[in-house]
Amino acid sequence: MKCHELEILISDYLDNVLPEETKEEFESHISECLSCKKELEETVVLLEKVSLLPVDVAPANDLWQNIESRINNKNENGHDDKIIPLKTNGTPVKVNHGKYQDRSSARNRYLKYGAITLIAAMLLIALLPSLLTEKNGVKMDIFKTSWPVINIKGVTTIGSKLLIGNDSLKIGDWLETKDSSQVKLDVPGLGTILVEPNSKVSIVRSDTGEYRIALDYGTINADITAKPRTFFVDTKSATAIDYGCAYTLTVDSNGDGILFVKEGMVALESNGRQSLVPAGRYCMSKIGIGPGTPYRKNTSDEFKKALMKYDFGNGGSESINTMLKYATKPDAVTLVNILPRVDEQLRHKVYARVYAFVPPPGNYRQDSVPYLDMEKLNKWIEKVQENINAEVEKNLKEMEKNLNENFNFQFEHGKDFKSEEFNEKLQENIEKHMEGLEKLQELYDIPMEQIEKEMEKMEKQMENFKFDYNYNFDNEKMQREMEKAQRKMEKSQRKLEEQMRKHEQDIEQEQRELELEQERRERELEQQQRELELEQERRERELEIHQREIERQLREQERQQELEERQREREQELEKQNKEREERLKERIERDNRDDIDDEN
Amino acid sequence: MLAEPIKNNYNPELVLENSIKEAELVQKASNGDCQTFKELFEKYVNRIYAFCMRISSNPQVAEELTQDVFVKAWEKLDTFRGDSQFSTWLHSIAVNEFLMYKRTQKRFLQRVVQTDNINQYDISTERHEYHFNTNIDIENAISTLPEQAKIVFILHDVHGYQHKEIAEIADIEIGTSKAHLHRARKLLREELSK
Repeated sequence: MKCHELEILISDYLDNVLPEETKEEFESHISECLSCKKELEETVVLLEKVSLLPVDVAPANDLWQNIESRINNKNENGHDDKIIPLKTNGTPVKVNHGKYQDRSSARNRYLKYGAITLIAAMLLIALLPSLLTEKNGVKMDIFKTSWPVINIKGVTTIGSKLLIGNDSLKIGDWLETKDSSQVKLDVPGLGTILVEPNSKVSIVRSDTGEYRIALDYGTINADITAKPRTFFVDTKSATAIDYGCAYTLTVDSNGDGILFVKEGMVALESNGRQSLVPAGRYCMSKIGIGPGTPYRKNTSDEFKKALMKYDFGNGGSESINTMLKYATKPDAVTLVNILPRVDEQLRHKVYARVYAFVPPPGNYRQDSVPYLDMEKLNKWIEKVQENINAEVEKNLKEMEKNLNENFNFQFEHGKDFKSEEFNEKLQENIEKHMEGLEKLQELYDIPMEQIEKEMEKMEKQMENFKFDYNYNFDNEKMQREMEKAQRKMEKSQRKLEEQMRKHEQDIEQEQRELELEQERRERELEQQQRELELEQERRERELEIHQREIERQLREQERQQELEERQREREQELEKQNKEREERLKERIERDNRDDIDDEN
Repeated sequence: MLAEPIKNNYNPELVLENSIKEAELVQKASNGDCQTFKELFEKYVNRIYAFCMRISSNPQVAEELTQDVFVKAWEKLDTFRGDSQFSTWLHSIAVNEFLMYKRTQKRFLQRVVQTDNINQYDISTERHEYHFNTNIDIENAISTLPEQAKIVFILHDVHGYQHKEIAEIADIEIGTSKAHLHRARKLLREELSK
């Protein structure tokens, strides 16, 4: 080992990271070379001095107050424009106090799953070092670059590959379901997406931590539990942004879409238009125009047509008049949404119509349209929803009461089921149910088929009840039936558990494979890193050698110059001495000459 | 007798326990919990301030940089994935903020002061009264180091980071980090022997 090689190794030696062999070489060199030993000792003395420096120093002023005020900025309106670290694209999000922001359904859902999400997130953080890797400074999250996909039925392709059983969908690959195929796509840590037949989806790359898919055409059923604005679905006509919800989104071959929100809330955004669609509402989006106004499931065809014409055609006042004509109380939500967009001449009409259903909160008159900002409109919509919910509850209670009456009546009349009085009462009760159900259907958007099914079921139950009652409640039979049902339930429970176990095993297997893959990549990276480091060191050493060579040459040159200088000096001196000697000789000759002349004289 | 290599006081269990606790705090803070973020701030403010103080050699600038570091950290909390220590992450923000500050400062001086020698106006070349009461010589010597060498030296020899971590913090290669450290130590030895 040479001195210049050792100099570079001092830091690694003191950090105790030198390989054993190099360390021995290092120490043997140090014990022999005085200058290197001196350098090492000086470095140690320096490090001893540095080790006395404080690692923590308290600032003279309290910095927190300033920081807190910077992260809790107040805006001009006095609202908190609080910067919250929620958005994952790296830029702060300002909390918008606009419509639907505080909608209880979305909030409840978020709260309901909040604890689970938190625990899952904490577990994820513990796992992260093994799941994340870093390449060229870019963080790669393997969870987001490929999502698990499970084939439920039929033929599905990923790119040109056939999907068999469990696989994973990578960024950029298109997943296509055929006529009768169905696939489940797991959004890691957020939920699932059911891709229905004849659909085409892919995962879109997002470097900002968002989860984003593109739906080219077809239908997806998404069930997502995430922070608002984490999960996005891009379609040609609009982007659906999740606020913690379950929804169905269908896109046709042109790119026009229709969204139905089952639970929570979804925002549809495009071309600067935004619609916030709450649970139980539909919303269309048209290519080139963007999203329309949300409407309820069972609104009348006339209302729906007029709304479509208003949103996407050139319906104008005619459409508004039709909508007002056919609007019922649950349509008030749609009308409130339209209010800010409608022409001023028609605004008072729309306002008065909604006012008649449910007046806005606060002291407003029906005959003059007040200015209502988004927050107030939002509150109004909430009031309408609450009003409808209250009516639904009232109707449900009435139905319950009717059922109880019916039950008591049957008991009162004992076995006399064939009496006219009983039949009349029964008929009356069924009619009451029907009334209640119709009312409910209108208010709560329950489809007619479901009601019919419910009624059939109820009638069947009544028949059975009559039958059983006629036979004095065959207790043993009932017991047997119950046991049978119990066994059936247990069996299906076991089957479900078995399926769950299998699914978990599959996931574990996949996880293990991912981890192995991860480890392999890390090893490769480390190897590359080591090679790079060695290369770097080699280059540094070469550079050092080169530099030393140059220094040596310079020294040599200096020495040469010095020698030449000295040579010159010596020559000059010799010349001087010669001159002196010549002069002395001359003098002597002259003196001798003079002496000779004197002698002659 | 040979100098003993410095041993690492590494206790894996303690490190794991701390990092789990920290991950919980970070998770809570990233959900918008300002109070939890304050806990993190209190835990690291003195370290970050000391770092900013040494790289900028100016208490006022160090205070501003420290504030910027924590505001930036709050905004970007969700991008912190936990694959490095939270303190490492904060230091990398500090390095970025410092370099950004230097760039802005340089541009500002170029615009405002028409001069051939910008460095004479450079704040870091001015001598400031330190808060560190002792070790003034070594602190002053550190302040004379070139920018990159200074950052690497402080991170390695004062804060105890490994080259691998420094490479991540300052976004440089490990070899470069080693070269800077070697240069910084050499310059410091020379400066202190004057």
